[in-house]
Amino acid sequence: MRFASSIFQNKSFLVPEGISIIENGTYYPISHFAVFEPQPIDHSYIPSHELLTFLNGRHLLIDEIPFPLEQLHDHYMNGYLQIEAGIQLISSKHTCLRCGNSEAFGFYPCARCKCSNCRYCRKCIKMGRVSSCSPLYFSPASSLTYPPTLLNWNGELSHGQNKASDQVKLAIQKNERLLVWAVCGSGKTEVLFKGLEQAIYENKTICIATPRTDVVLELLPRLRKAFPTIAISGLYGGSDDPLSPFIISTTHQLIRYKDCFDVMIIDEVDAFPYEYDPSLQYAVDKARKNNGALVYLTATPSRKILKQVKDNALPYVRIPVRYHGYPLPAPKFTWVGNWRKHIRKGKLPSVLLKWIEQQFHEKKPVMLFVPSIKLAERIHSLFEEVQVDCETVHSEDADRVEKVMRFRNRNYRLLLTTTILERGVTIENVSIGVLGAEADIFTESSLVQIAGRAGRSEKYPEGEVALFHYGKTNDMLLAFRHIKSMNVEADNRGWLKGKGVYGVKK
Amino acid sequence: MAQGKRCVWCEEVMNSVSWEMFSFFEEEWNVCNECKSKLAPISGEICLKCGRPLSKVKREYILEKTCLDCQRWVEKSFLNGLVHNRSLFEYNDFMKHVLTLYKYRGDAEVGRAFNSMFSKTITKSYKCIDFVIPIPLSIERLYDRGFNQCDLWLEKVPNRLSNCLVRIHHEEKQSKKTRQERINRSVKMFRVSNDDLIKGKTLLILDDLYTTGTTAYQAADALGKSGAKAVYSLTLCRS
Repeated sequence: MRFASSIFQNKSFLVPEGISIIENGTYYPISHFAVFEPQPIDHSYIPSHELLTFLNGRHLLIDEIPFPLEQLHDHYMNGYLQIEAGIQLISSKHTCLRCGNSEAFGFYPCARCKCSNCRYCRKCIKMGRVSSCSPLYFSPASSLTYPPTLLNWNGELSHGQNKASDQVKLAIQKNERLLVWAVCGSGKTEVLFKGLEQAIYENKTICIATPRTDVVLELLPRLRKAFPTIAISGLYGGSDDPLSPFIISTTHQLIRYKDCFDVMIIDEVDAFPYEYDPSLQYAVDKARKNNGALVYLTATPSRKILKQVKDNALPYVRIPVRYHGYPLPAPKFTWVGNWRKHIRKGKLPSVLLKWIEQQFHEKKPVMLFVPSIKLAERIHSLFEEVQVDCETVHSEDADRVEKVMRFRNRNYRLLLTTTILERGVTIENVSIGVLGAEADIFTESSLVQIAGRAGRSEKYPEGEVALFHYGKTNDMLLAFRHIKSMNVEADNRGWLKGKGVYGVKK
Repeated sequence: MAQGKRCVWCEEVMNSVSWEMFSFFEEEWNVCNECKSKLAPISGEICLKCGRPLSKVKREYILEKTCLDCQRWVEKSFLNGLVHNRSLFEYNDFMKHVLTLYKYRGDAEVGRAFNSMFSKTITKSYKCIDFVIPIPLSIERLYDRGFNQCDLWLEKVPNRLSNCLVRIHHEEKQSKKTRQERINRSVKMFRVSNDDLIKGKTLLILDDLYTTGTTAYQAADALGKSGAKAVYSLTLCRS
């Protein structure tokens, strides 16, 4: 889009092409302008309630706003919304103001600004194209009042949860940062309840962000049940929930917000793709208000986060024990020789087969993790040859959810998968195997998460975790120590049931 | 994170060294081999009229290497005909995906990967052509999308003629109509803005997809009525 700059009564402002206010104005792509001053609020102007509710705290392209350009322009002129160029020079680098990308751009001859080489951001194009000539519209979050609310949850917190819960509440009250380092199966969601109740009491906007849509869908009903009088929206690609001041969102969707949330909670802060994608971190920082609280949740903090903890830059609280109080199952190491060669020759390692038979004999289903999709498919066919009924689930699998569901319902007993299922899956009484645990993809945190799939239910807290390898790696040992140290810490605090079982030493 | 060139289609890091780098024939595509392998170039015997692989047509529908659909087009004698259509690829699921990224998501670089292929095809196989005309979008749709997907493919083609053919109505998308509605339309889709430019000229029209042939025949008709000598058609895909 093209805009012309104008001055009236000492105020300079921009007028979009197509609104006939300026005669003989010269129109430029919006990126031509360097300064985007908000107009002072004119209190005699009555803004549209619908428009302000829609734009509240959001950062949107014109194509995403279902209001006419004239109306947007009026609200801009009277200080109720702001515009800025979507792509600007920041420290002399072209930067997408929506997602923070300063590297991946494309160009095209643009019909909107008539520029033969209009720059656009390729990083966040999934969410609509931000070009050099795209204005971003933004309206600061207005104050809100929640209906009176009481937490509707009568469960009991474990010792570990209780302590963390108090800290979360405090961080939210004081608008501070906090890392909740909670082992797999410790009940992280419940730890948030008291803090969220406090935030609602203080009328704070809330965002719980998670890398994956599955988690948004899992959290929504639990939180709606806990806070029945509050409207909570779920945001993910393809969702159509009406907006509310309390959202549960995938991290991707956050790029459509700016200075919006008083409380930002990031689930699985170390999980792909958040940790590896700087634009998502940019989005999280942009969506949170400058003085907002920031709570990270994870079972396996990355080095980067642990460094902040070590430097006393990030306060943290640890929950070293599961909600049921039994120790985390520690992995057993089993050497299987050159298993890749076996597979190439069309054979499965006999130790692995024997172990799987044993699990089946004990009526336990088995999740077997392997290093790659290709291997999973190869191994799948080998299992079929020996008549073991199994399914394979990987990241490019459209039937992922359905296959996991059938596994949970015990329709088949062996699930072959990659690291895609290392988090968030709970299957009762499942045994966990990893073939090729020495592979690079199985990092310490990955193995800790994988081991965290076992023994999650109170009924069967003693899970089996077997790592089949061709030479132990550092990451395998680190994962073992990680799990053991959590059990030791839990025991030292007197929080552990089933004493003395930290794990089987190899 | 690993630095390296990424495939414009799948964003995976590409192997930096490949034999293609030493080939004179393969210009840089910015597409990884994995993605390239999912394309289905049209080869073998084709319908001489519409360029569809004859292996996809039932034998009883073929007459002198021409498919039944094309025989029917020829019967519609009120239209100025098309010399023929040729398409580069089959319209498989992967191609659908690529075109979605390009047209609807608006990622120009995704489609630009085909530029060199179009340039080469036009120089090599269409020596007799005076002008190449991209199938135009309506003004409204052009504004929505920001660019014309066919025009962009011809960026580097010197004899491109972009604003001569004009789309008349902004109506429902072709893809939302039934086959019969598409073939039997009576309303004109195109007009020519300047007859003098194309009078007596041999033209090539360029589109992304040939399905029923309606767009190509409508364009050829408009151009023919304005005095074009002959009209050929080239599309990225044949569905």
